[in-house]
Amino acid sequence: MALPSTVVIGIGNILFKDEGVGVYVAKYIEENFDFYPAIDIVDGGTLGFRLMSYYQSYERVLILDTVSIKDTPGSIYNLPAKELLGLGAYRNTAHEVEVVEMLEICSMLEKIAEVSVIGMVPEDIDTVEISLSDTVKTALPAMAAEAIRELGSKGFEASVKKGKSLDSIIRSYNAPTMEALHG
Amino acid sequence: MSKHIVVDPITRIEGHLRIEAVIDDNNTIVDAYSSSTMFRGIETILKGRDPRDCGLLAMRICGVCTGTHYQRSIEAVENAFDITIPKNARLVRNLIQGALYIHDHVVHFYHLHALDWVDITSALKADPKKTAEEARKWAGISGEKPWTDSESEFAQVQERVAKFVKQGRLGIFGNGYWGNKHYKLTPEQNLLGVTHYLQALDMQRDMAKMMAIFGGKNPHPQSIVVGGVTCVQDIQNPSRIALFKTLLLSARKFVKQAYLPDVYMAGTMYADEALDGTGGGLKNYMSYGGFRLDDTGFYKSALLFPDGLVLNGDLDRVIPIDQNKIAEDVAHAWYEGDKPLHPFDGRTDPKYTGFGKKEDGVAYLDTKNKYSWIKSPIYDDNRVEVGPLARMIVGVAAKDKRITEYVTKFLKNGNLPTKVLFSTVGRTAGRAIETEIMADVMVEWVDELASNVAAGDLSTWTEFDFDAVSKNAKGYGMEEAPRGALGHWMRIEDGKVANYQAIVPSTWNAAPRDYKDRMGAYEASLIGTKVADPEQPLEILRTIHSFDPCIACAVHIVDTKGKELGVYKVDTACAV
Repeated sequence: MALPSTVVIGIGNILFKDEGVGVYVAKYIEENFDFYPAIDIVDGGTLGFRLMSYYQSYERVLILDTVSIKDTPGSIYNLPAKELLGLGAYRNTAHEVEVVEMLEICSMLEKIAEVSVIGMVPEDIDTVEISLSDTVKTALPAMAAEAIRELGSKGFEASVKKGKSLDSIIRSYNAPTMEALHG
Repeated sequence: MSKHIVVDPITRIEGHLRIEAVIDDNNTIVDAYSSSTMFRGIETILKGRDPRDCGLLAMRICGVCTGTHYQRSIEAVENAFDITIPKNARLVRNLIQGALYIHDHVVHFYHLHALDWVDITSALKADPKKTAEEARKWAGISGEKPWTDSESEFAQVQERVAKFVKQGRLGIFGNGYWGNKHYKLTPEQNLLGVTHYLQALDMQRDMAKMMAIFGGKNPHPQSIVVGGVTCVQDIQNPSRIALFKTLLLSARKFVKQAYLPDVYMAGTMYADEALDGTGGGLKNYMSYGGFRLDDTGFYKSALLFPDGLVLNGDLDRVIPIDQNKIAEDVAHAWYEGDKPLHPFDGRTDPKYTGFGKKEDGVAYLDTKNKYSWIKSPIYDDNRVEVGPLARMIVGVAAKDKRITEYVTKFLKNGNLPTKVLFSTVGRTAGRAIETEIMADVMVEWVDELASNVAAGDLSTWTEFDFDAVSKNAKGYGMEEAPRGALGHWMRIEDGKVANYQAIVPSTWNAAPRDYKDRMGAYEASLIGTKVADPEQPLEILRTIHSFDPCIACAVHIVDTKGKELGVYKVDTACAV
């Protein structure tokens, strides 16, 4: 039987240091693992309301992001949508039009993807710099492992491939060129 | 006794915004402050880079408007190098931006703004048969058929809402100010609005597809380069152009049969507050001008949206825009600086001074001093509003034929006087009018592109000698983005970026006071608004949402404040 269509979306703004952790993890997984059956992996950036289309088009959405939980930087959380949606009812702490609000808006639909978030507590999201703090960089493989474990529990088997190191991934985000894209 | 209302964060917007309003004994807002409490600063990251690559990072400023920042950055370079792009490239760029307008405006109206006007719970009391009559009535105003007038469909939606409410499903139901007396639609009108809300969720997916046809990879487009576009294969493929047109025609139908009728409905039911000017604000409107209609080059071409400045709502006078007169002031923003600077010389040096007094555990903005991360842009020493309404008003004042025709038709069909435009309702109507203009003109553009390609013009890129033109140059990409005037300014020395500044539309609108203590557009728009229930800042949200705020150029994090989430922590000790 075919598994539910699944997308992994890395979210965050790479301009603000650790805020980009989700984007890097998604890329790291894409570059270093193959999945069977195949899944889609997206660099979502700060998608905002454009997230809606993914909630509507896929049966499962796994979001990789930062979470602002008061805990040691580098700590990793795996949160089901149900928990996130509960936050929306608590008006003053609801996040803006993003992961949570899009869940709310789509909650009117009969059918939306099963959404979950794997997030890391960041250390530095204030510095304007395309890089990661050492703490987050060190913890990043564990976040990737958690995402792979989560996908594995849903039936997607990962195999390691000859890929790209985290440092070289960060470097290419730091210096994107038209030449690399278009030759 | 005056009382403070603090709304932080404003939800259903892109990004993080805080509003502090002061109300008097009659619950009327007498003072207001707008603050983005998050820092942004793309500028420092772009210095020293190859100007041709800046677009790839500039698009990271905001995830919703990736394409529009990308294109502005590329066009700043083209302007600096004096490059005129080929006709196909101009049309493709117009179509990508136009698709963004339609998608943005429809999602804004239905999913980010409608619930400020539509009371979902009231829809439960509606009679589906009468709802069908309402649907025919409001679409009929402009001679259209309704998007749907099926009684059974309305009944189904009603059932679905009833089921969700009964289940206690969380989400939007928990978040509204349902039952607030400033909701003015009838149960049937509310049911019609909710039905369109759901249908718009499906429509927006197709509108997003439209953007990707020529834009390439979503959500980070990459088909635009300095000199033109790279999607040569897509424009040479008649089935790609045909797909674009099919999606466009279906979007246009929705705009005419659902969006416009709903705005007629809201405009009529909320006419009293449009007539008394609630939410009008500054009444100074500015448009940089946008969407080139011919190939005479930047800032020379005929434009879909004319450039101009209209002061004090005076539709008889329009002042042309001169980019030299733009400056950014930081008197009340958390940056270093002592006088307004033009963006070519702009600086972004943070100077955070924190919040002011703290009372009952609430820290208030230090409004006498610095209180926002947004700078205050000024045009020729005027505070101005930008956005769809500004484009419509500048278009009418400039006697633009197309814009005047659509605006006049809207007011005539709705039986509304011109002055309703200067209000929150007017701002929302202006966006709808503009969406119809865009949907119609895009049909012309897509046909023009198809026939130009069919006639044998396959050119998509203008060649230039980078080393020769990039020694010492400066340029700007100024356009009308969905939310208003957007500009990127760039100075280039020896082939590298020497200075970069971007002023985004929400900077113009959401800015704090300036060096003369004059209010920004959001702030001014709240003054005089009557609040029905200070515990439910519905009217504040309605007016702020009418600007379609986008402050997303800041940090973005899943916020779990106040929730105990320990059980979901991943034990990484045993992780690979």
